[in-house]
Amino acid sequence: MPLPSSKICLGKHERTHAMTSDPRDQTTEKTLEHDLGKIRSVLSGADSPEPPDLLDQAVLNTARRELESAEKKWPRRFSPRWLGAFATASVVILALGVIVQQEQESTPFTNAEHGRVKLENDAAVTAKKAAADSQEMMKNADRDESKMSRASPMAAAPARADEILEQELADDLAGLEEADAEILTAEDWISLMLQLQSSNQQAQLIEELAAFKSAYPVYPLPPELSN
Amino acid sequence: MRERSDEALMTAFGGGSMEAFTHLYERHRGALYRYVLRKAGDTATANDLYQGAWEKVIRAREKYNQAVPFRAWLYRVTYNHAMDYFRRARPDTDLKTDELESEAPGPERQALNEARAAGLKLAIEQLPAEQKDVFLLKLEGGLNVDEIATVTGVNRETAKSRLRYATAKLKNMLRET
Repeated sequence: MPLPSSKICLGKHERTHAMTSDPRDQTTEKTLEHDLGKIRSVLSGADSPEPPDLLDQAVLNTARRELESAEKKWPRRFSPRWLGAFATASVVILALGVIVQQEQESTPFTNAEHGRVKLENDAAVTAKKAAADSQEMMKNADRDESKMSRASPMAAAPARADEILEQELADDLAGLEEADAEILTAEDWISLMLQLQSSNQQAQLIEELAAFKSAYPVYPLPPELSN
Repeated sequence: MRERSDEALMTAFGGGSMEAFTHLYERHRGALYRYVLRKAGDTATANDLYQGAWEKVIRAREKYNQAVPFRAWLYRVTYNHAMDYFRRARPDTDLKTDELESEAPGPERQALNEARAAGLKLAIEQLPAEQKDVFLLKLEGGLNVDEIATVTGVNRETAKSRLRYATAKLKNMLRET
């Protein structure tokens, strides 16, 4: 490999740099360059040592070996720069994927939440309605009870009043039948039947008694109803 | 064809181009060798320093920043390597001040004054270490004062002052001979 002579190398190094914009400095710089030029000419004429060929070869071989080992370690198509770009792109894609997936998951979750809230609201409405119905039924039952308690002294009243009372009782009973039968306890039922007996409503009493026996087959009846 | 800059060649070498390094090496081998030789004072040490400095450059190829002037970077690597070398080799003494060994004479040497050249070499060797560093970086490395200041780790004015003193001493020596 032909290498340039020392003279060429020296020539390339003779750069004149503007040290500063100060005129005094520029003068000093010129003087300095002039003096250096003299020294350089003496030295270059006298002695321009070059690195030995073996040293050149050693340095160039080192460079070649380093490049080869780097090539083996990281083949050009799998260079660290390529890997870096690939890693960056992967991270960006992964992040975008996570964001998109989270957005997709958030919509069904909201729907489910809405559904749950709706169900809860419906249940609350149903419960409220059931409570209102139950309250209504309790009111009806209280009213019937008071009516019945009033009916007892009226048994000895005139026939017309009895008829009216009987009619009201019949209406109430029909209403009660329409209402939930479970509201009547066995005791209430028995007292109702006793009322019917005392008011001589035999046909209705028999029906009630039959219904009671079918509902409560083993419940002990009072002696007035046993016969 | 226009020549590629040192910086472009070094970047290409960092990218795996052996050809780029060969060009770069051809450009700087002579000057760097002379700098190291004059700094070290003997051929054996100069050879070690020269090879070691280039090895450092080769290993640092991927870290090289193209924005940094290559020549200044090369001489800074070499300067630091030489400093480490001398600290390890001769911790109690400064740079060797023995006279340089005579190299094989070039073809121009016959035409010049041998006495003056030898005297000049001796005078360079006898410069204080700081002045010698600055002077050789200017003479052989072709660095400007700012670059010399960066390489040697001093401020610009100090570098300039050292250069002026060194040049004046050598000029006086030349005048006397």
